[in-house]
Amino acid sequence: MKLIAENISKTIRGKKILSEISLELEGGKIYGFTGPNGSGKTMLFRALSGLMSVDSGIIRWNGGVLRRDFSVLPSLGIILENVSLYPNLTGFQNLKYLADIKGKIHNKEIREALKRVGLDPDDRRTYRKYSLGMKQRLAIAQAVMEKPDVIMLDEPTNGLDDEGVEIVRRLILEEKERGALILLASHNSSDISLLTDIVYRINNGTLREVKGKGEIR
Amino acid sequence: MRTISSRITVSAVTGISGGIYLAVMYMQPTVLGNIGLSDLVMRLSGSRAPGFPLTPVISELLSLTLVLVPCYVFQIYMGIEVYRSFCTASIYVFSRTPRRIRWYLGEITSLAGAALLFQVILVVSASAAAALMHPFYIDTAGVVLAVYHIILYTFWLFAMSLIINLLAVYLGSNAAFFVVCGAQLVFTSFLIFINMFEENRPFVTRFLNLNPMAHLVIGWHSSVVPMLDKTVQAPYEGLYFAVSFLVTAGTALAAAVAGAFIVKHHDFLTADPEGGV
Repeated sequence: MKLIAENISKTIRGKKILSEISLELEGGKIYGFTGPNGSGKTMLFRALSGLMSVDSGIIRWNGGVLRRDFSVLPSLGIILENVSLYPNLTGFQNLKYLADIKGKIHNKEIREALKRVGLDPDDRRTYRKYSLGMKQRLAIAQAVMEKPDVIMLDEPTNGLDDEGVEIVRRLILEEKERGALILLASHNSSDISLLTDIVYRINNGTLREVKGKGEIR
Repeated sequence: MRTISSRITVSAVTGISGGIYLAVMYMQPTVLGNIGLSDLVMRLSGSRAPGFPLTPVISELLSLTLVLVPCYVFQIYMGIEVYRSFCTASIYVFSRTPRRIRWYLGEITSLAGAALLFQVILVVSASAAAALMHPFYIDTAGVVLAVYHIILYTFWLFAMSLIINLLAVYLGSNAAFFVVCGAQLVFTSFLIFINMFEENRPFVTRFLNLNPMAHLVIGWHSSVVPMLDKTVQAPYEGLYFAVSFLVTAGTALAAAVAGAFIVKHHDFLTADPEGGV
């Protein structure tokens, strides 16, 4: 499995958000992305996932071209900061609604995903009554429940207690063992140092490798 | 499934409370001591009594605005509701399916259903509350006018709520509310020109048809159905129900099509001004 970005750039409202970024990412590895707020980490995830178009450059997934052969990555789990799920649904109902879109998994797998992140599948509280940590766990559960090939995690340990952080770190490593290609954006230096194989730093839309053997052109 | 039950609940609660509010504040009996459905329906858009349609002076235009408060409440709630759903879907749904238009059609169908339910409940609640307070009778013209009112206001509410949501993608929800609700208030205030130029009938006719808020005033409409024309006794010429249906339905359709374009063009959704980069 390979996700390749070739000279991708994006400008929004006159500001260059991504500047000729090239990457070659493989399954079974965890790629860390660090950088100050507003540096472009989230936008890079949006572009690589297909949720946002780029002004120039190409993104390839396993030989196919994103936006030409498919509009979003065909097997993707993603969480982005500050994007909530449906407030009037329970955790299970939220995941059920999302799982029904592709129909790949059913109640059993949804319940397992909730338990993996330490949530109770039978909890009848709606999402709006969840704590910040519970919301974060639920977001991670939705990202991994369908066992996607690519997982993009934007600040996954935000708002989690120590137990939650350990659960999530263990889960991420399990997904890596499964062979998923994992992109992890985090300000938490422990997450980056403990989990990642290769680290990139993004600043003002430009990328450079700071750790590991990633391909960068 | 997801948020449909909450929309139903909000539509019902807002409709019932709005209907009761309107009945208590505006549904006084006529000199005969009773109130008919046709009169009630016309009062829902500013008429004062049978034979006393809304006069476009400041005090009555203010009263019209207050009569429309339940509708503005609906717009504000549904404007937030659908926008939030868009924000969630822009990541969690659209990362799973390229069928954005299909998702969007489901959302706007739900919104249209909520608008219809709200209007039906509003009219029924106002009628029920009026019947509890005063002798109330249902006339044939009133039934037809009630249906017309529901149709017009459903299209209008749907269009305004959807436009708030679409503008919120670019401006944020607060600014979107301000623009859409503000525009409606401005057009309502412009109705005063009818009174100022009342003698200029061609101007009044043209103005009535061009001002979107005029299409919501049942008491100003003429009809090709003699029974309705006699009941409404419109003070001005040239504003017909058929045209108003077309205007409100056309606005709703235009908003729906614009929304489909925006949903399809996903960059706008991900550049959400309230969600951050």
